[in-house]
Amino acid sequence: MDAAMILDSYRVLDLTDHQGQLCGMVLGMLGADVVKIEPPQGDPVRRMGPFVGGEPHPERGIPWIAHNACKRSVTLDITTKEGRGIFLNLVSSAHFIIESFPPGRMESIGLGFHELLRHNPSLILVSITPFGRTGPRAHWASCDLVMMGMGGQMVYCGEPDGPPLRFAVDQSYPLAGIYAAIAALAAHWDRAATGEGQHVDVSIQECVLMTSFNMHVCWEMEGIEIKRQGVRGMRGDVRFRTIWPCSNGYVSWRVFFGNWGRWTRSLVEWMDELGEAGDLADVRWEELQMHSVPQEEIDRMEEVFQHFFLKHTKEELFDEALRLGIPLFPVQEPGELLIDQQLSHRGFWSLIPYPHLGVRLPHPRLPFPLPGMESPLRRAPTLGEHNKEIYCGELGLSQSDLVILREAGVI
Amino acid sequence: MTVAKGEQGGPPLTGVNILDFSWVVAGPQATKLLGNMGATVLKVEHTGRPDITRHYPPFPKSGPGINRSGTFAIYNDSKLSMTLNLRHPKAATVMERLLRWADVVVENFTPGTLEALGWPYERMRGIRQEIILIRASLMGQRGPFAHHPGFGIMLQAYGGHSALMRGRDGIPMGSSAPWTDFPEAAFVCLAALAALDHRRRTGRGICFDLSQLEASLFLMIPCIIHWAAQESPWPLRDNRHLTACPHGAYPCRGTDRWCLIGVFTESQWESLKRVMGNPGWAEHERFSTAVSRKRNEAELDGLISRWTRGRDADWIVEALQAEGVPAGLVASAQDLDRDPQLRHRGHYVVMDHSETGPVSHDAPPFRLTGTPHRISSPAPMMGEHTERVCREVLGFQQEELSDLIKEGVLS
Repeated sequence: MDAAMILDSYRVLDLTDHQGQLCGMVLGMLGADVVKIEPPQGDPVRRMGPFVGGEPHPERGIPWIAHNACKRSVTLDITTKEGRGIFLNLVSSAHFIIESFPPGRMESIGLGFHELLRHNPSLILVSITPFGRTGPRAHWASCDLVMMGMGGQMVYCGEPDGPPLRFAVDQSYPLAGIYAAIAALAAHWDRAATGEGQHVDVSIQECVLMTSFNMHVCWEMEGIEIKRQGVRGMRGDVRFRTIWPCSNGYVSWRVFFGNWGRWTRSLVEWMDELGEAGDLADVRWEELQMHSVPQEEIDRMEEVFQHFFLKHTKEELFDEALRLGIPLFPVQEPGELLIDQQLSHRGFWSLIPYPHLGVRLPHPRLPFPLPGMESPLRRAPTLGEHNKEIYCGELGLSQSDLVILREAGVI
Repeated sequence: MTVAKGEQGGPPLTGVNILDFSWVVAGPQATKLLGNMGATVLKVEHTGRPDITRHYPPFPKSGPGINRSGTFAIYNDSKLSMTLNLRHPKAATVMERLLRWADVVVENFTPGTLEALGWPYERMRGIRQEIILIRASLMGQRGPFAHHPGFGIMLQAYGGHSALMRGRDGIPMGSSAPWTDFPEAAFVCLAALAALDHRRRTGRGICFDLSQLEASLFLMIPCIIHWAAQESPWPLRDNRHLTACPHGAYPCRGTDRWCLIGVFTESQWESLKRVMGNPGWAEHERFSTAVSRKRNEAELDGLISRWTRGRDADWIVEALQAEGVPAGLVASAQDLDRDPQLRHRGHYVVMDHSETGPVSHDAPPFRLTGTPHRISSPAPMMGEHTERVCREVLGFQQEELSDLIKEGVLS
């Protein structure tokens, strides 16, 4: 078989809300046919802002548009008798179902895993929930902020004397979406060998734990709790600055010693050419190890670098860093990535027309180009855009059936 | 009737062989996850250039050592380790046998390193036509910045993440964990599974060129679209939410203890008031509607902090959750360790190790209920399995093996 796209010919039914919607998008980008099943009033994510043009409208929600490209949309009230029947009809030919309802919700509407299996014995059901489907906190209320804290990430974030912070856009949910796609494909690999489907239980809290780095093992081995450091990083006991103001913004860099001391030396040599290295010119960076340099000495060295950075723009510093091959980067606003030379070279963003909004909006391709298998990105669908295509074209319903079902509030 | 697979199923990737040249955080985390899902992962290092996390703290009380890093331990369980000097003229005989054994090769060297070592993808395919190669790098194999060195801690500044977390005077901070490594790890894993399924269906191998920057931008899509549509930065800072209010981290009793509270609905606000004992100030019209609360958010945060400050964080979280209000802890390592939900899910699996002592290893963030994961072994000693792999997997005779060792090929 010659699959044009990697997951060509697989059907995914996507019942998720904001917590799991990236899973379906990623599978869709890999070539699967992803059908988003929305309640007749629309996925609740459509009501989340900010909105394109500023005005709240179900087709303008940026959180919706961002994570629903490469999907088709149908409306269906799966809690009604007719809706359930139509859904089970779709289930029989689907390969994956993804959902992010509270634990037990699918069972309560008669669509638990074992019921679904009766209609499709090799089905893979992926459930994405904040804390997992079972356990003492399975029914706890949650949001991205709570997930970031309960997953350990917030000990790394914030000023030492300020509150712990989250990134100001949801991170736990897209991360969980990617992990859910991994779990779906792992279950699929097994199904290819055994013919058997299974139920996959994704915990968003555990997805955030995948970002908790070495905090648990630091505590386990040394009894040390990691604490947030603001613009500094930490390696063992040593603190080093990672974000530096420059003349027109900020750059990210850190002092390196030992094997990587050559990077610091290259920077200092450049500073020295400009007469701004001071006594740093005499430091033998390669011969020192970070843990053997006293913290006060690192702090003092950092003052010299800070003085230097403040005299230069982030563009000057990055240009020179590129030339010297040292790991220094400008701090960018997210939007600056749209005109990034490296991303442009690799064709990462595509501007996709949204004719109903009169705009073109940027969507990424996957972070690994699919050689010879590129298919055009599809914009996020409008509400029920594919009702006719799927209900009439595939399930054989008539136009008048659709009118009746719409009237009854089923679609 | 077909029933769901029982607990007796083996891990899904049993029989899949991963040849792992990856190092530091993202690559090893991805291959660890593949190992946890049953793949046989062979980590290959050169003694002259071991995985740098082998020298990264924490270390056990007995002191540092190449087999003693806690950070290395948590990213390298469930793997075999062998040493090989790819630059040695006789390394090709070993590499050829490794490639005949492997299904997937994973590497995250600086772009060009594999070619410099004499092993571009085309040569690998000459040995094994259907080999899969996953190449991960900071910004991709090609392009104007492809060779620029860097780490996750800096890339999050470049990728716009740090701009979403600001400290005093608006200074961007970001996480002091290598934030962008984590989405990269997830996408490496996804790429490997997608490529395996592609090979199963087409018989063809594939080489994926994965960029950490691009992977990390999958957590930023709403901000990028917002920039394009509105020509303005993402409208949120700190722990603020567009609509939820209160929404933040609040100081509690004890040293640096914080609880997280997110109020999204009127009923959650009523519940919060009830748990706070219906204080008089909460009835003021400044806080009576979602709009007025948002307008007076700073004042509201101050009043809630006054209530939380003298109270136990765990008590507040339990009390709010009992009323259905999203609430959580800024979990410390100790909180994670005793978290009843994580215990219920068996998240941390303790493995003893002769040099580090017992270390807790993370389970995958999902449960494949039909094909459970496994943490099969603690992180390997450097080269622990070199001889065994050469004899039992690669089929070298004792005499050949002795020569390879003597000549420094297996170093």
